[in-house]
Amino acid sequence: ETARARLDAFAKGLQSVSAGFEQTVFDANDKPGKKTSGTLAVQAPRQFRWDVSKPYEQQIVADGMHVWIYDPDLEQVTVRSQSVEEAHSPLTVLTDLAQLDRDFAASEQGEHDGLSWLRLKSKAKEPEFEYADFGFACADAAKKTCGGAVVLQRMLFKDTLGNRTETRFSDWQRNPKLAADRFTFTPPPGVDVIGEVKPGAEVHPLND
Amino acid sequence: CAPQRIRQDDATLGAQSAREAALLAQTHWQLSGRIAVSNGDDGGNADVEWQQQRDRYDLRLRAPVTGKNWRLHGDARSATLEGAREQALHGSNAAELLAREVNWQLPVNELEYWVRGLRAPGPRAELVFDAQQRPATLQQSGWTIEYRDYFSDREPALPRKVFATKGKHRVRLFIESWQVQ
Repeated sequence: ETARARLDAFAKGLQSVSAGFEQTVFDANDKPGKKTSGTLAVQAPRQFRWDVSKPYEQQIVADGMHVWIYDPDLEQVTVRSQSVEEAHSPLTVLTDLAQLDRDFAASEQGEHDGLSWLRLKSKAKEPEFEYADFGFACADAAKKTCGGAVVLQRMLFKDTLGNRTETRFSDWQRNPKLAADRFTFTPPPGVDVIGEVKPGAEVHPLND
Repeated sequence: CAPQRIRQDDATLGAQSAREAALLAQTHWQLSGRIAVSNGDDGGNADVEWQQQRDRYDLRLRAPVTGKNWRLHGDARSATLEGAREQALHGSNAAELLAREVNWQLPVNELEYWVRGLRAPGPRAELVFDAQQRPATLQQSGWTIEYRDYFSDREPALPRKVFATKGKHRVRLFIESWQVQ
């Protein structure tokens, strides 16, 4: 069973997904650096949330039109148009396989650490990262072939300067009932917002 | 009530000079934290690792969403920026290189002092102090730097929250940890 088959099984019928994450960044000489944990949610076709809760708080919300980043320590929200940002994020491909094949070249990386690995390399002229590896397991750990019940357990992300970001996922919820405003960001009162929001930018999830 | 602020006088300037002498003697330092740079219309957030050895700086910046990475390193006379284009970019100083290549206003050579609560060499600086005789606000070269928080568990204290503005330009730095030799 190839890693691609597992990705297809994982993404099949997936409109939205949420999970917990633990992320560690390793520098080019593999020295572990910053470790963060929190939750993520993705909803087809272009919305996602990345909420860091430890060791600090940071909210990243892509609402389909803009990417909002709220950092309470910096007492500031920055907002940018989403088109540039999310096109380069391997996260959103989970709920939009068509985008995966358009923007990335996928290649099998075989089995290691009990997972079956798929590598995504960006097709962009100046890619923002070297590659992203997805490590899939069967939901039922005992099984060799997953029979459709697949879990994305790890993501490994190599950037252009040789740093490696290791993300471990937990507690996947498939098509969870997400609150309507889950992907809407409202700046907290009194906090500076940097960057412009295109007025009247209504958000209509384009359910094709 | 508003925090107590003391204008610069012989006593506070004396304390500042002693503080500067002690900190300048530590020529190897490193900070890890988060930075937000903006020019009023748009802005960027990044994780930042800053290593300094005498006048050699090495800044590594990592964007949260895309994981995009930049590295800016050099010394008082040279600057190299990696990660903005396919090949590395060079300039005579970091601020000029960043402004030219990625449209970021980041006075790196002065920030090297300001981030530790020190006056940068050169133009005159205006200081206002807090109750512990540490800089609360520093004005120099057109920038106003606010020290909103300090790591007070070390002597001399090093800043934890540094907010700098110059006109519509803004640099905000939250420092998670310092290493000093």
